[in-house]
Amino acid sequence: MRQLLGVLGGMVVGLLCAGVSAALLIPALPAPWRSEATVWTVAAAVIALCVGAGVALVRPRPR
Amino acid sequence: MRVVERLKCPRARRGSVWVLLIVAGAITGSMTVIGWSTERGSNVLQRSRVPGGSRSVLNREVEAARREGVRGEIGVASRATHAGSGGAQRGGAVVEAVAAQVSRSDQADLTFEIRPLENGVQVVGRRGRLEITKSVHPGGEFELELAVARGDKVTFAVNSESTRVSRGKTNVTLPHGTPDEAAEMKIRRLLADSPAVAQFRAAAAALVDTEDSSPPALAFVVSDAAVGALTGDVGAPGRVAKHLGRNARGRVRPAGMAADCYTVMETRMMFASNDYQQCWISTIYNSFYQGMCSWRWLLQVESYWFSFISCSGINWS
Repeated sequence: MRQLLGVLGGMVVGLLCAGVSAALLIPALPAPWRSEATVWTVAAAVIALCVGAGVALVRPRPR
Repeated sequence: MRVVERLKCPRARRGSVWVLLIVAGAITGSMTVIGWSTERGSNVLQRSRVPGGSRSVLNREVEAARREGVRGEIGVASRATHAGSGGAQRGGAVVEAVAAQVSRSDQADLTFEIRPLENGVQVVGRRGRLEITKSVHPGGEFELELAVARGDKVTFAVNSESTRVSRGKTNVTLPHGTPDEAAEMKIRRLLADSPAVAQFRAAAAALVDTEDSSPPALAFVVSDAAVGALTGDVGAPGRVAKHLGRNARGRVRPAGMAADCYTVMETRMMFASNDYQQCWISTIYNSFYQGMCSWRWLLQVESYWFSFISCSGINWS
C-alpha cells in the first residue's frame, strides 16, 4: 500500500514537474531540437525519476 | 433594311407573343414586319423594321420575308420600340441589337431578358409589379434600376469612383475612396421605405433559395449584395460570397483535421517565457511582484502542458 501511494504520488508530482521541465526546456533549446519527441522523452524521464523518488521515499527503512 | 430583331422564345406560344407585339407597337415611327420561323426546335420571332413607314416598301419586305421562309402569319404592325434595345443609326437605316434571350425561373417567379448593348449587356427581370434593369459595361461599371409599376423607382449607378443612388428627386453620391458616413446614412434613410428595394431583395433572396446559377440570376444576386450593403445589411456581401462559392466549397473534402498539438503548446510556452521575462523586468523594484510573475508563469505552463497531454491522446469527448 505504501508503495502504491509512492508510485501514485510520484506520478502526480512527475506530471507537474514534466510540465515545468518542458516550459523551461522549450525556450532554451535550439530550434532543431524543439520537437514533440524531445518533450515526451524529457517528460517520461522526469516522471520516471519522480516515481522512483516516491518509491524510495516510502520504502521501509531498516532501524 | 430588314431583319433587325429576332426574339427567341423557347416556350412561348408564338401566336400570343405575336399578337402582343402587334398590340404593343407604338403608333409613330416606321412600320414593322412580324413573322415567326422555327429554328432548332424553338420559335424565333422575327421583326423587321422599315424606316420611313412606306407601305409599298413594307409590302416588298413582306414578300421578301415569305421568300426567305418566314412562315406563319406575316403581318404589319406599327413600330414597337423598347428602351435599351441598342439601336443605332447606320447609313440612314435603323439597326437594332440582335436577339433578347428570354428565360424564366418559375421557383423565384422571375422572367429574365438578356440583350446586348453597344457597350455591355443589359439584363431585365420582371417579377409581379417589379421591373429590374441592370446594365453592365466592360469596365465593370453598372447601373441598376428598380421600378415598381406606377410607383417607386430607385436607380443605382456604380463605377470605380463612386456609387450614386437616385430615388425621386433625391440623388446621393457615395465616394469609394474616402469614407463618408453622412452620405451612407442618407442612402440608408432614402432606401429604408422603398418598396422597390424591398421587392428586389425578396426576389434576390428567392434566387438564392432556388440556387439558380444562370447568368441573369447571378447578376441580380451580386447586385443584391451591393444594395443590401447600402441599405445597412452589412452581412449581405458575405452571404452572397458564400452563395457564389458554394460549388467550389462542395468539392473540397477535408483530408484531416488533426490539430498540431505540439506546435500550439510550443507557441504558448514561448509566449509564456517571453511574458515572464517582461514581467520580471517590469517588476524589478519589488521582489513580491516578481514572485507573483513566477506563479503566473507556473500556472500558465501547467495549463499549457495539460492541454497538450489532453490534445495529444487523452481526448474524452
